[in-house]
Amino acid sequence: MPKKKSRIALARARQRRYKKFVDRGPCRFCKKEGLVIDYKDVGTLERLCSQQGKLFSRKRSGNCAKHQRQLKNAVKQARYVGLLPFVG
Amino acid sequence: MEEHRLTTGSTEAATSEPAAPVARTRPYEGMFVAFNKEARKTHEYLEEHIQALLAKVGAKVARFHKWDQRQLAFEINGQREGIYYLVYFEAPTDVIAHLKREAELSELVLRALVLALDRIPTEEELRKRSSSAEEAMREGEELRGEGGYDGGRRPRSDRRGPPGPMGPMGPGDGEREREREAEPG
Repeated sequence: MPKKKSRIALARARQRRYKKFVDRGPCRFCKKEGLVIDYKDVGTLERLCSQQGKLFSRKRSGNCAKHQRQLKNAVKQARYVGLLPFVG
Repeated sequence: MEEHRLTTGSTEAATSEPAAPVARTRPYEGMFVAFNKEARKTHEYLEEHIQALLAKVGAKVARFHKWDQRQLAFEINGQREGIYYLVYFEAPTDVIAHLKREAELSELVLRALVLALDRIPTEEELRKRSSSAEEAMREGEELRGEGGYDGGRRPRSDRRGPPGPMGPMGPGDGEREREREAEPG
């Protein structure tokens, strides 16, 4: 019977698994001062959405909460005016 | 008691007239998507129609221009194409609902999005904003290496292969898409 891993070992393994997501610099939009995420900027929005038309998670895109929120609103506005699809 | 209340009410009405509420004026950005069959030949009448809508509610137009003519991401009112008009205007806050309603009732306007602004941006500001967003995206890609915006994830063996019914997964998709775009035809 394999030896059961201790709680600490499991926590460390989890840390290792998520290290690549944690060790990152600031959000790409934070680096640009005075940047406004706009629904008309379809190119940027498309690149942060999957082929299905869903916005990538913060974990995947590396955005901070503030800019992820702005992106969410921008995507929803762009969808409303028919610039982005609701379903890809 | 009843009598007293009645008399007080009547005197108040006679002496102090309720002041008419004055709506605050503020800047707005409006995006109007309009189209119909005739718009393929000429679209001046669409412009006039939108300007008439704005004039009807008493909006003061600061800037009005055709932003783009493009395929819609999905069909709206049986139309697959749309002409986008971007308008910056100032209007009293209480007419916006009326403007939206008017746009909704119009057969030419497919969609209208009105956003409140702090101030109307200049042309220079708009240009700067779009270029900085592009730059941010480019730098983000550089940082995250080949994987781009995927957060440095490498394609796993189970992520390779043709896209499934739920759409392709993982960062390989972006690469595949770019390759497809690069291919002529």
